Amino acid sequence: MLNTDIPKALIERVPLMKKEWLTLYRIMGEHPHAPKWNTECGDRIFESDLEFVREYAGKLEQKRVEFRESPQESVLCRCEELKHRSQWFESKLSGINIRNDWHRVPVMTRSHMQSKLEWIVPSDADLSRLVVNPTSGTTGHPIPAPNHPSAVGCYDPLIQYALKMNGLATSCSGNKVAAIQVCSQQKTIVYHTVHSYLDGAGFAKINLEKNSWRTGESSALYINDMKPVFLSGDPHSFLDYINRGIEYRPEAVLSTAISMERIVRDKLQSYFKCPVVDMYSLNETGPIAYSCPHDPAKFHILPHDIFVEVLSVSGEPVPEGERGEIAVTGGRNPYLPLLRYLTGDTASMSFKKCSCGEISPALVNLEGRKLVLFRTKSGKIVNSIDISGIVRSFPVYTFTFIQRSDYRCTLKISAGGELTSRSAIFMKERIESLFDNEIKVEIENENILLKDKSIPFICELEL
Amino acid sequence: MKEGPSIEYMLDRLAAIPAVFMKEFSSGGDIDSGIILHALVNDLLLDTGESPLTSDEIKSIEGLRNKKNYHRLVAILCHLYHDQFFIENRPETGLVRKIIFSQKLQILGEAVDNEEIFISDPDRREELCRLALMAVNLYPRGEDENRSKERLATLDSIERKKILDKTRQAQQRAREIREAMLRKEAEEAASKMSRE
Repeated sequence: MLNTDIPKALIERVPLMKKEWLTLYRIMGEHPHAPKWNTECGDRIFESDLEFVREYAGKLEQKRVEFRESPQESVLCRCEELKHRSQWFESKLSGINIRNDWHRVPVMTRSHMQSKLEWIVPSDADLSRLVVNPTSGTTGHPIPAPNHPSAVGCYDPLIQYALKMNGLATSCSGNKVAAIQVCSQQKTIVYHTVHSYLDGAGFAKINLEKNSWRTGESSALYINDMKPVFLSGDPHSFLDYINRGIEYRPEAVLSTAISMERIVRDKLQSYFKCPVVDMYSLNETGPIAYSCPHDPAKFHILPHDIFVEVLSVSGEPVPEGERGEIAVTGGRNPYLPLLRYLTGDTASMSFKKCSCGEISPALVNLEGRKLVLFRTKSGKIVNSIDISGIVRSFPVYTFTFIQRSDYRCTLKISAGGELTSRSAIFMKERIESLFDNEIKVEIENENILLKDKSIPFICELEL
Repeated sequence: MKEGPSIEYMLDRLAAIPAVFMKEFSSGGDIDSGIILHALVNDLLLDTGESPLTSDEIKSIEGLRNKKNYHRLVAILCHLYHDQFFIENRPETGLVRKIIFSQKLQILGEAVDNEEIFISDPDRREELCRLALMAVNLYPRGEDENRSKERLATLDSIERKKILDKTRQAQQRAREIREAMLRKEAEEAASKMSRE
């Protein structure tokens, strides 16, 4: 078949687009209750990328790894190879026998990733395929990480694996909507596309916020007609989904971006009556671990090509069961190879055999990024994502937003001369409008770089 | 290694280089148009106990005519070695010839911006004097072998150029990455089904 009916712009976004995928693509896009799409996006996958993703998917299934305190051989080999291509690896591994003295390898931090990115990116990496995925902003201090379509493409098999291990038997491939990502924030990008790896299965990113739809009922009608195999999103967006009374129940729910409290999990499970899978994933690292079907407080390491360890403040591995900071090595992003990258989250490690059948080690009692919601005096919820969205549009290095028990709000920022007093007032007014101008926001410029792991959102309101 | 003249002695010798050594060399063997470089080298070799230049060696020197800085370094070395000390204490056979025809001298010539720098710049003057001594297995009087090697390493123009080149490349790469990131942040990303 000829590709003549496929719009050129669509081929740029989905280079392997087939004519037979167009019907679903158009149904998703032109549905009478479709969202007011505000952007276009595709997997950007070429044939060679697709081969890479398929090969990756095969290894993911076949090469489940059982590492303990030392990295698996494949990760060590990749580190050795990167010594010749990345200045970071060359300098940090110099004089260290990584097979015997792995713990001597210096850690990589979030600030290194921001200030020394050119050291980390391999010198021979072809930058023409670089993509930068936006982050949700839940952490407050997102790191814009360079990525490659083939590495982003690997999210599909990684997600499929986590869902399958949690009991999803239905295939996500072919002529169906594989997933809808549900957002609940004032403003975000919304688009629909098809994924080549899933043989043209559809995917849409939507925002439940009413301004994103034609009518009040459109979101429910659209989701119901699309019948996605699974829903992805964060705990806040799923709670909003439930509050809006949207009836459609998918076959699985995938939660990411922020930690899911037990009470939220119970609520989602009783509402959706399907597996609720929590995935620990960062923009810089990609998916790291997924919740165990037998014990959701436990997160099994997901990709076979990363080594995960839990470290003390001094960078030493802590014994099994003790809490420490999570560090990741390896990965498949050709622009961002990781070497003991400290994620900023804490957990303890478990190497015990699991009854679910997964053989990879697990992170236990993971303390990731918590969902923080603020409130107006009249009870309206304000999502931290919207606050970070506003702050990030100004030249602010780091920030902490605090709502006191008397509803007063303070935004502590670290900003240089680029932030004019006029801009600061504009930023304050925009945040106050999120609170329907019921609450005043004080801005304090600390003029110093807030610490790496400063907490971006603090809410002292009583529930 | 043995003890040679002091570094001050070598620097004085360098400072006394005749002006003609720093002028254009003769191109066609015409003595009136400047020094004939291969003749200068030949005289030095004979005076320090080496065999005269072969016709291949003459061709080699003349063939490197486009390497102006290398030719100047050869002339300066001829002046340095054409000193009473080296004539009376002949260096081990082959060593003077070896440094004159070495790749190192050519690379050193490429590492500097202009041929005058080994006369005008104090660090480069010292580097060349130390290199001249080291090449004939000598260390400066008043120093020991290790100290002289360390000092030469700190003055090493080739190493310095390598570091500067590497820094320049790193800066260029950093610029490319920053530009790519800014450009791509403004463009669409690649679709993924979960968010972080």
